[in-house]
Amino acid sequence: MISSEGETAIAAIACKGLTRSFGDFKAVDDVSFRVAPGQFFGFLGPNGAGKSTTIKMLTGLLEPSAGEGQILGEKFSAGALELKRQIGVVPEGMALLGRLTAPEYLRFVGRMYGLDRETTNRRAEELLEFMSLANEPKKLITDFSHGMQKKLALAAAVIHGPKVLFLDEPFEGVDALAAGTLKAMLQGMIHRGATIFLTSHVLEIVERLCSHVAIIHKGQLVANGSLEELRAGVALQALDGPRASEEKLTLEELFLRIVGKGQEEAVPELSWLA
Amino acid sequence: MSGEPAFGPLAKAQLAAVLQMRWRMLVNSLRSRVGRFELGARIFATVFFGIVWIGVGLGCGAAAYLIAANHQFKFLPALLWPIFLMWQVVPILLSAAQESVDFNFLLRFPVSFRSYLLLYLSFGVFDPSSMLGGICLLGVWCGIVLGGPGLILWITVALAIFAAFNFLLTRMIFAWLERWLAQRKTREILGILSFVLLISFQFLNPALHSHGHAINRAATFHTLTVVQKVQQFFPPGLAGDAVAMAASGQSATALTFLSGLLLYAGVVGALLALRLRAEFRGESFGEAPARTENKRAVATAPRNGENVESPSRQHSWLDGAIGGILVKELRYLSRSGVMLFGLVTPLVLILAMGGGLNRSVGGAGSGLERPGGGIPIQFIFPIAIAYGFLPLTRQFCNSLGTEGAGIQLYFLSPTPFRTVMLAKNLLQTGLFCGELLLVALTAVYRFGIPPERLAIATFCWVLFALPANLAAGNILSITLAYRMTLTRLAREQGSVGNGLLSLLIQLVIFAIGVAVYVPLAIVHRAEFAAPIFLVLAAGSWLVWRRVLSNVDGMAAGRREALMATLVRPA
Repeated sequence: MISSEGETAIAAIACKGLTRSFGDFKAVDDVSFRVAPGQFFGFLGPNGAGKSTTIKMLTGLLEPSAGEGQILGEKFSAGALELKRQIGVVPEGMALLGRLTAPEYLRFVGRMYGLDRETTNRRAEELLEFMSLANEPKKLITDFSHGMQKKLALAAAVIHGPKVLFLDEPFEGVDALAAGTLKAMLQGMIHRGATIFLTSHVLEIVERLCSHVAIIHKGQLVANGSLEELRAGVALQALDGPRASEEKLTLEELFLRIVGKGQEEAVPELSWLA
Repeated sequence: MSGEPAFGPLAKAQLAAVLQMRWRMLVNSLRSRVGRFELGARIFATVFFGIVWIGVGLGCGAAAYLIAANHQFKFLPALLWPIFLMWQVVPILLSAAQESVDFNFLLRFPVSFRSYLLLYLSFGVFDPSSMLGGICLLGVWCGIVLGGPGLILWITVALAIFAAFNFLLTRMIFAWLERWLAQRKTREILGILSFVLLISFQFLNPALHSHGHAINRAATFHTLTVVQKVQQFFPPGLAGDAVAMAASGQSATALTFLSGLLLYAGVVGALLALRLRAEFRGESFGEAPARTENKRAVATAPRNGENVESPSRQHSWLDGAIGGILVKELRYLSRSGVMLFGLVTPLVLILAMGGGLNRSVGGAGSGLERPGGGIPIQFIFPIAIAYGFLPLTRQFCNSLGTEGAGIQLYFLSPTPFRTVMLAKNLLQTGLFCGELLLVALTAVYRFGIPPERLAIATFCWVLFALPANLAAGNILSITLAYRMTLTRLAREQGSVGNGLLSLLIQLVIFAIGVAVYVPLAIVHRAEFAAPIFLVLAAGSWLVWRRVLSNVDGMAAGRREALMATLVRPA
C-alpha cells in the first residue's frame, strides 16, 4: 500500500480501522486515513469498492462494525449534533424531498440546520441563482432532471456553510456547464478553508480538483497520498514496466495500474452484440 | 409493438418474468427480520380474512340455494346488489390497507399495451375486494346450481359477466380517481362534486323519513316498485333478471339482459383501457404548488433595511426545525390528493351511510335505545369519534413513509430525531382535532346530542386514546416503516405487518374504552368513566413522553433499515 506521512495535528477527517460487514461480506475492511483541514480529498474506487459505505460511516448514516471516524478532532456519532452543523453531505440517495419545490426544500434544510429565516431565504436565493435553478421556482423536485437534483442536493449540503463537505458522486449526471460552476464553487470553498471529501468516477475532475487522493478496492485502502506521491509509488513498483519512473502518469493510468492489477486478462468477447 | 397478441409468446414470457420477479422479491424479503414478520402478518391476514370471507360466501350460497329451491328468482337481484355494493365500497374502505403494484417500471421494456393491460388486470385479481366478491359469487353459483341444476349454463354466464363487470369497475374507479387526485385542478373539481353529493344526501335523508314513524304501506310499496323498475337497468338487476327470465323459459329476454350486462362491462373496460393507455404512453403529472406569488423580491430586497420577519417571529419556536417540518408536512398533505382522500373518506361514510339510522331516536335518554335492535343509539357518537382515528392511522403509524430519500436528511442534520417526531405528532394532533370536530358535528347532526355523561366520557377517552396512538405510531413508524407513493391510493409492498398492528392498536384502545364505560353504564355508574379515562390519559401521556425521549436511540438503531426501506429505488 502507498501511504502518506506528514499528518497535521488535528485532522479535518480521520478514520482508524474503519470496517463494515454485511453478513460475511466486508464492504469496508480496516480502512484508516487522515484528511488535513483545507484539503480537497478524492476518494476513488471501482463500483462496489466501498466508497459510499465509507462516506455513510463517516457521516453517521451507517454504524461501523469496527473502528471509528473523527471529524474536526471529535468522534462522530449519530448524536453529535454540534458536529453535524459543521458538515455538509450529498449522500448517495441525495436526501431530497420530492414533493417540495427547490426554494421550499432549501428553506426547509436551512431551518433543520438552525439558520434563521432571513439567512435561510437569502442563501436559498443565492444558491438557486448560482446553480441556475432559480427559473424553476414552482417545479416539484420529483420533476427535476437528475442533474438538477444533483445541483439542488449540493446547494442543500452547503446552505449552512459547512467546514467539512462530503460529496458522493456530485458530478454524476451534471452537464459540463453546470460541472464547471460546481467546480468553481468547490474551489472557492477550499480557498476559504473548507475541507472537501469527494468520491467520483470522473477521474479527470478528481485530478483537476483534488490535492490528495485515496483509492479503495474491494473494501481495502490500496493507495493514499498526494498525486505526486501516488505517481512515485506506482513508478517504484513498476520499474521493470514499460514506462520509466520519470514519466508523468495521468490519474486514470494510476488508477488502472493500482486497481486493475491482474484484471488485464482477456475480457470475454460478447459476440452476440451488434 | 402494439400488434403483439396479449397471449403471445412474448407476453407469456413477460408475465412469467414478472411473476418470478415478485417471487424472488418475496424470498429476498425473508432475509430480514421485518421481512419475515411481514410474511407472517400476510399469512395471518390471509387466513383470518379467508375464514371471514368463506363465511360470507357460504351465507350467499345458502341464500341463493333458497332462492333457487323455491323458484323465487325475482329475489336474485336483491342478493346481487349487496355483493355489487360490497365489491365497490370495500376497496374505498380498504384503500389505505391494500397493496398496489406499480407497473410503470414495465414501460422501458418491449411490453405491448395488451400485455400491460393483462398484467395490470392479472394482479388486480388478488385484491381483497376481488377475492371477497369472487367468493360471494362462487357461493351464489353453488347455491343456484344446487337448487336448480338446469340453470347451470345461464348462471355461469351471468355471474361471469357480472364478476368481470365488477372487477373492471373497481379498477376503473381507482385508475380515474388516482388520475383526478393527482392534480390540483381536477382534485378541486372532484372535491366540489363530492361536496355537492354529500349535500344531496342530506336532503335525501329527511325526504325519505318525512313520514316519521308512521309508515305508509302504500307509499313504501310504491317506492319499492319504482326501485324495482329502475334497478332492472343496472348490472346487478340485469344479471339477476337474466337468470330469472331463463328460469321462466324466456331465453330471448334473458339473452337481452345478458347483452345489456355485457355492454356495461364493455363500456367500463373501455374507460379503464382509456386511462391505462395514457399511463402506458408515459403520462406524468407534474404538479406545481397552488400559490404563485414570487417571494424572491421580498427576500432579496427588504425595504428600508427592514427584515421580512419581525424579530419576535424569528425567535419563535415555529421558526425553527419544528416549524420547518410542520410547513413541509402541510405542503406534502396539500399536494397529495391521496392523503386528503384518506382524511375525508370517513366523513363521507358517516354522512352517506349513517342515513340508515333514524336521527330522531337520539337524545338525552339514559336507556340503551336501539335503532332496529342494533347498536344503542347513544353509542353511535363515541363510535363515530373512535372511527375518526382511522383516517389518520397511516399518518400515525407510518409517519416517515412519505420521506423517501429525504429520510437521510433527518440523520444528517443537527436536528434531533425526537424533534422531527414531535413536529409530526403536533401536526397529527392538529389534523386529528380538526377531524374530531367535523366527525363530532356530523354525528350530532345525524344522530342528535349524546347524553352528557357519555359525551364527557368520550372526550376523556380521546385524551387517553390520542397520546396512546401517537406513542404506538412513533414506535411503528420507526420499526415497521414502509414507503408510500403519494399518487397511489393503495399501499406499497411491505405494509401488511404495519397495517395489522396499527389496526390491532386501534382495536385495543377502543376496547379499553368499551371495557371501562359499558360495565359502568350497566350498573348506572357511568359518571366514574371520565375520571378513569383521565387516569388512563395521564398514563398514556407519560408513555408518549417516554417514547419520544427514546426516539433518538430507536431511530439511530433502525437508521439502516429505515434508509434501506425508504430510499430504495422504485
